[in-house]
Amino acid sequence: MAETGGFQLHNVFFAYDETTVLEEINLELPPGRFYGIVGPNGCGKTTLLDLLTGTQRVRRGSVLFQGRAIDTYRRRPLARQLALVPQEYAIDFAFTVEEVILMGRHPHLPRFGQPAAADWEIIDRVMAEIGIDHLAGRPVNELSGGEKQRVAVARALAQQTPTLLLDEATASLDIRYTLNILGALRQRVSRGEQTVIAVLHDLNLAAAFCDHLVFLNRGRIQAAGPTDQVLTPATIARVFGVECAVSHDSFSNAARVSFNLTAHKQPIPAAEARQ
Amino acid sequence: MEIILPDTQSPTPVIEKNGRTGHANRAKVRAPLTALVLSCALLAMTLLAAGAGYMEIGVGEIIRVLLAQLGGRPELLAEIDQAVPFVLMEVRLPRILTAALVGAALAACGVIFQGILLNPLADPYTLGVSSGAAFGASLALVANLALNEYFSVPLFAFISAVITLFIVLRLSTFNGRMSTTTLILSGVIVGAILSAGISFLKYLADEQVAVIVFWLMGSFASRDWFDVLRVAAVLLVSVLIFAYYARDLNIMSLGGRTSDALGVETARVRTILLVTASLLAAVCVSVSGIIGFVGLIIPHLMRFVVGPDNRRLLPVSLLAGALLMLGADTVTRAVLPVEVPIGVLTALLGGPFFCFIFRQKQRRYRFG
Repeated sequence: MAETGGFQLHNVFFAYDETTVLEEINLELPPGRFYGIVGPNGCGKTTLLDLLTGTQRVRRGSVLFQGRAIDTYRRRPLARQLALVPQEYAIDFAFTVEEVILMGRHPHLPRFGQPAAADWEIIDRVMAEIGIDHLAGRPVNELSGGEKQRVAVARALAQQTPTLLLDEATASLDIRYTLNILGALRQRVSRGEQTVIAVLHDLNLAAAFCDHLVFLNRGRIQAAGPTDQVLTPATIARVFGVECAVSHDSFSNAARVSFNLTAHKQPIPAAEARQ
Repeated sequence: MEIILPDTQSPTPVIEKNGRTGHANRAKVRAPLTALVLSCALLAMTLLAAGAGYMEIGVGEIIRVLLAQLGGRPELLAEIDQAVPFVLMEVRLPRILTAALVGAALAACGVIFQGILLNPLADPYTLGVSSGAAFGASLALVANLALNEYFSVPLFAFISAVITLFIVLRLSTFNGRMSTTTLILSGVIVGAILSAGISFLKYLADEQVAVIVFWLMGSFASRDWFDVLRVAAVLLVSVLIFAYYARDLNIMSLGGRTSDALGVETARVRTILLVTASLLAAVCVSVSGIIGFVGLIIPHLMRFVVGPDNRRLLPVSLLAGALLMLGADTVTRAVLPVEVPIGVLTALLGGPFFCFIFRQKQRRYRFG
């Protein structure tokens, strides 16, 4: 089933009114890997995730998930296959952390059904995995940004989907929780339990955790492939416009990107800054 | 009433033995209890309201009349003044039931609008729906469209509310997506235009202006069984729809992207709930005029007691809305020396309360 599993994007084009966001996107994301999507701000990463979850529809081209066009899925069955951790979320209602994570079981529960003991077990397990069991009874609207983000990750894990999408899910976390969450996801991928597709900001984190990287800039894929092949100074220079070196770091046993700091002291030209 | 303030002292909540936390459990126990207390209070309030007024009627008499009328035992009326059954059945009961039903309906609208707009301070008026209904009704009154006294005002209120909703939704939708911020803004803009329209109609109305003004301030005076049935039917259908989507509405409070990914057909559910709640609000306005703050304050208050879960919030809000509206109507009808329009009364009582909640909310944000 390797040929039909995961995502296949063919010649995808997407625009908001007159503004082209994504074009000529051709991508194969077979299951079983940890994918990182990287690129500068506003390059279309979030939109790409919206297309993968079916929240937005392609204007041209096609997005296939497990061999079927994503927009032919009904949301409920799709939610048993795909979970999303959004970039951030504002919540004004005092649902407890536990209640929010229980919402992750929604696609598995009948409309008027109550969660069974098995559902509560799953919730306890993911709370322990993410290390938020002590927050269980706290109203989610009173948590800090980082705590909220960990709740969102736990909620998505409680959904127990074969595929997990993350949109800069670790952006507001400090390094300890970032490593904790990405490490937990890495383990799940390595055990063959889950496919992870994560939009990441930090190239070094992407290098350390991802099997494959997709470089996106100005709505186009600039490079895609195994991390050790595509993570090169040339690609990073082309996509981010910064000068860097990529070396192997023996302490983390992963590739390390280090940047030339003196080359970027001059202001960013206005034409580029607008991008 | 308990106001939940941010707990700055102890960051760890009490966790009970079975691993389920106290907070969620307490809300689950509290909801049926609250519903029971509110039901009893509503029953007591109904009897009190039926007895109070220009003609005092004892509880015994009320029960005997009800048994005689509903149970088909006319011999129970033997010792009672002949005016009593008429006053009770044709004047007070329709008014009492209309007030309770409209109160319940407005509270339910509040729950739904607050849930969809993701804002605990939203209410039916935020969407401009009530202004739309009021505009249509004023138009019917000014144009003196007495095609049929039962239908012209409600029909115009209803049509105008639906058109308003359509315009507001159209204004706030970009690229097939609707943001809640633009939804509120669109509602305010359209509401402001409609208010100007109503003012202009009042200016045109000359001697009829008193009718419009009184109606815009809201009243349950001279309601009949037709009004009761009309509100009851629409409320019943709406509540069934609300209950069906209550869990989806909970999940939608996490935002559209997340609820989509959790298997909720967000756009469809939002449209269904918005249209249903708007129709319900329009029917309320067409029956009783504009009555503010009930739809805003009841869900807010009840959220403090039973938590934000709409499956618990909806039933207790229905009961509390009915109780508050019936109480307010009884005060204006039987207690105050002059009948104050109920919309004025709820605004006078609800306004300061709203300010209090608003401050409370600000404080929470400052700490958060």
